[in-house]
Amino acid sequence: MSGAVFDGLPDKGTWKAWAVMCVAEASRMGIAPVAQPQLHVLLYLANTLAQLFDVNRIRGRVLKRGTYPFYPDVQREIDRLAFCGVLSIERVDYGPKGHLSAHYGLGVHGADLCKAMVAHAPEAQRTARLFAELVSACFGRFLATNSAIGPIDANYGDLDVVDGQVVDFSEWTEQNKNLEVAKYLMEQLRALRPRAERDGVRLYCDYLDEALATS
Amino acid sequence: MSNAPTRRARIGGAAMSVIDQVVNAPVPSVSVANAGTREAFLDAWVRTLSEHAKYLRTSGATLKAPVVVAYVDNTGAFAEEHSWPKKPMLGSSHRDNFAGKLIVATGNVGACEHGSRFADTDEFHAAIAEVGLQRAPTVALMSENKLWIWANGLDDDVSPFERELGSDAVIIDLDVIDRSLARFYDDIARQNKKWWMDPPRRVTVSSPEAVVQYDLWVFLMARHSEGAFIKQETDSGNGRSDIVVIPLPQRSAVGSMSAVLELKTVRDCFTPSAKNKTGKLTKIKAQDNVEWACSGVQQAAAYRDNERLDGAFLCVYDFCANNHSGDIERAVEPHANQYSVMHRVYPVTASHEEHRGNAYPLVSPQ
Repeated sequence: MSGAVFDGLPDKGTWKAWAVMCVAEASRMGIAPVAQPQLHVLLYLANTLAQLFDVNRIRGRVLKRGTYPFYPDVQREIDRLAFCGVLSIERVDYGPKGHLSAHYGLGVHGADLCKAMVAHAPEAQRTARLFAELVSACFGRFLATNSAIGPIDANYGDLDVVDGQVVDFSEWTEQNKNLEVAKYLMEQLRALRPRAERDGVRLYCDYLDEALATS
Repeated sequence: MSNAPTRRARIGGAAMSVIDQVVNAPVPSVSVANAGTREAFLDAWVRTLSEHAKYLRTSGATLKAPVVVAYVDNTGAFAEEHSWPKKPMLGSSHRDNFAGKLIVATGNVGACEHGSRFADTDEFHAAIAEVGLQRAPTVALMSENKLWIWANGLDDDVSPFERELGSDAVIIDLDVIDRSLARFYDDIARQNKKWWMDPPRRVTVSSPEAVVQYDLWVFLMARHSEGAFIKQETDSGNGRSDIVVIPLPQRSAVGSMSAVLELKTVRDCFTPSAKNKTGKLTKIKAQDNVEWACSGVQQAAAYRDNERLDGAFLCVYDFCANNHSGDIERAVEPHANQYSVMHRVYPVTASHEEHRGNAYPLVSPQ
């Protein structure tokens, strides 16, 4: 699954790989199916915190619209994965204005595909670990009941970016406020965590949980 | 007018006041290992069940039946294979009614459970055997005061590590850690059959350091994780692992200290491949073992200083035939003293006879 081919969606292959690995890790933990908003929140957080696991993020931009980050162009590819049996749609919620929201599990071909990806590429192994950590941290906290991280997320909730504009953390690392919060937390708790970059993911999710509880 | 730098109120959309609440949480969410590993599973469920026991004690309740949680690598696949109902949120609250449940999990949250609730340990054991999890790392809350941990499953030769719950904050200092290391040696390490592949030829299992380190980590975690993080860290260079003990400020008593434990194993020969188990062995030179053990002094001291820990231990588990000669001890001692590393050499015996000679040495008549 090369990420270089441009076919409408840049890095289409990498997006697909990420979506499959995310659902696979959720399935492994016994958490799947993953609802559409939860999947997009996990994909977004993975993009913002990828550096902590030495993973190249796919996209450093997201349109600020609604209460949680959502990638409409990626959603089409997620549905294609479901229709070809890599993912499965285990349930569909019917929302207002005819809006459908699927809950995704691992399809009949998903487990083998994921196994093959992880077996052959160190980057895929690191990405799988990133999603394992994210899934554990998010569902152990807020994500089982609340996906609306938009207003309190450091990037997405930045008051300098108004609704309808693009949240952009692609050019400079210091523009990635999520990473800045994670690194600040790691530094503050440095005495408790020698050599554990993975804790940045958990600590940022702790922040989201705390912020959602107090907002 | 003050010249003190003003502190930002926000980082992007994140309020500093909320970020500070995370920093000051009673138990910060620092993981001991990668999510989904048996170590992260054990750490998480020991904490969840300990918190559940505390919740029962403070509300004046008793645990009506044991709770047993076993590790599998893939909960989703296990649930499908055995038709156990999935419980995606199980583990996220210590206030759930766990009594009588047999739970199978991979991480801190998300699990599947047996359809029935069990009343006694025989029923649990039969149900675990039925699904082939006798060798799976397992945690059991037996009462509101007692937790058991099987590092390698219920059918392991080694007895479960027991934790008494409900004690007040305790000091975890270098003496306490040293005593725990001695206890681990006496109870687990001195005569551990599982660490040998072919004891008469003194062939250990492959990667003995990783095996010893896992058992020691579980032992320390069982004894001290209420008051400290017991973490495993893997060096990316040569795959070696360390254990780090870091007292939790809010859970341990004043005077507690942090430490790194550097583990080394020395042995007479390399472990042959599975195809060549009975073939000729590749010997390891005594000098190579000495150098290997001594290199642990530098690693322990460097780790301690880089991470600003209070102490460093070098623990050498000696599987060699001449492990009572004191050669390793004498070689390590001057270097350890030079860098203030506490060095301990633990001979591992390969037979009952050797064990008796080691544990009950006879003094030569004068």
